[in-house]
Amino acid sequence: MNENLLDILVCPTTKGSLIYDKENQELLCKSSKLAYPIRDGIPTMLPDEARSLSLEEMEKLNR
Amino acid sequence: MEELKTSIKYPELAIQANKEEMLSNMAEFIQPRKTDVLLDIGTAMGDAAFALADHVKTIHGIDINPKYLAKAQKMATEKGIGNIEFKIGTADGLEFPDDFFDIVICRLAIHHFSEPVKALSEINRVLKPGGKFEISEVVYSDFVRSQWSIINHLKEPYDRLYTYLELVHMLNRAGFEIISIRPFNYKTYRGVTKWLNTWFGEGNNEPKERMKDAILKLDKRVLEEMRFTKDPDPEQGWVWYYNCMEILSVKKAKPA
Repeated sequence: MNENLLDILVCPTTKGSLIYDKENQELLCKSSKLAYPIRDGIPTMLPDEARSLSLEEMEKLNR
Repeated sequence: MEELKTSIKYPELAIQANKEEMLSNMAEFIQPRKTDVLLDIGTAMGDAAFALADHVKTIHGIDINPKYLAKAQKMATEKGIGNIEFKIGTADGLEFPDDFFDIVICRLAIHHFSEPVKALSEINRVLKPGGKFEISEVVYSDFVRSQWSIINHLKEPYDRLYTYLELVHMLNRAGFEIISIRPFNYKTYRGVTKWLNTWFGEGNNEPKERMKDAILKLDKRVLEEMRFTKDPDPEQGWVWYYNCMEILSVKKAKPA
């Protein structure tokens, strides 16, 4: 995935900025507490297919 | 999400009808600039995006169907096109910031949207003021729609079919000003059996027979308006044309 995209993409529901988790290939949104998967280099920007972030993950992001 | 599930099954061959013709003069109609950033909503296998790639700076193509996007991505690599980014997404919740795009295009896709008004509002949001929105869609007269909806419902129960005036009103209400329109035809091009197989699979004959029957029972006025012709060989040719409209509009500036 083109990392320049990260400056552009926002969460489709909250329009909040996204954090790129390179290791897990996910785009994380703090405001919606969702993780959007990147599959084969293509981000899946569907709230219905996003994973909810756990409390621990949220804490990590807020650190 | 139900309607999305049906869109995902959308047979890829069904969207390739006379595409060369449809795409060849798109740039002339939209008049993009080399510096433009463009969003293609419902990009499918990227046909429109590829046709415009040389005319703009960057294209973002979104679609609900990951299989299409995988093919589009592969095709982009083969064609050596490096300025298109594909993402899985839907128009009613766009993953882009406000006032971001110079151009948004949405070709033969809005009939799949479950929330068209929300989608148009999102498109308006992500466009820069004065940015262009090109929408192409099949348009029906009231009468033909009332009949064709029955056929369409058998294959895609979540579709909504529009009249031209409905599209115009929706665009106006969503904050667009129409600057140019042109009609075109979209021709079904393959044998009815093949066409039905793409929707219902090869073995599943009951719904296919029902569909054939429903088409043949259509009011004569519908068949005439859609220029329906039945080739002597039913495997080869049942041909009909969808009347389409390509509408170019701009995002109106917000009142001060």
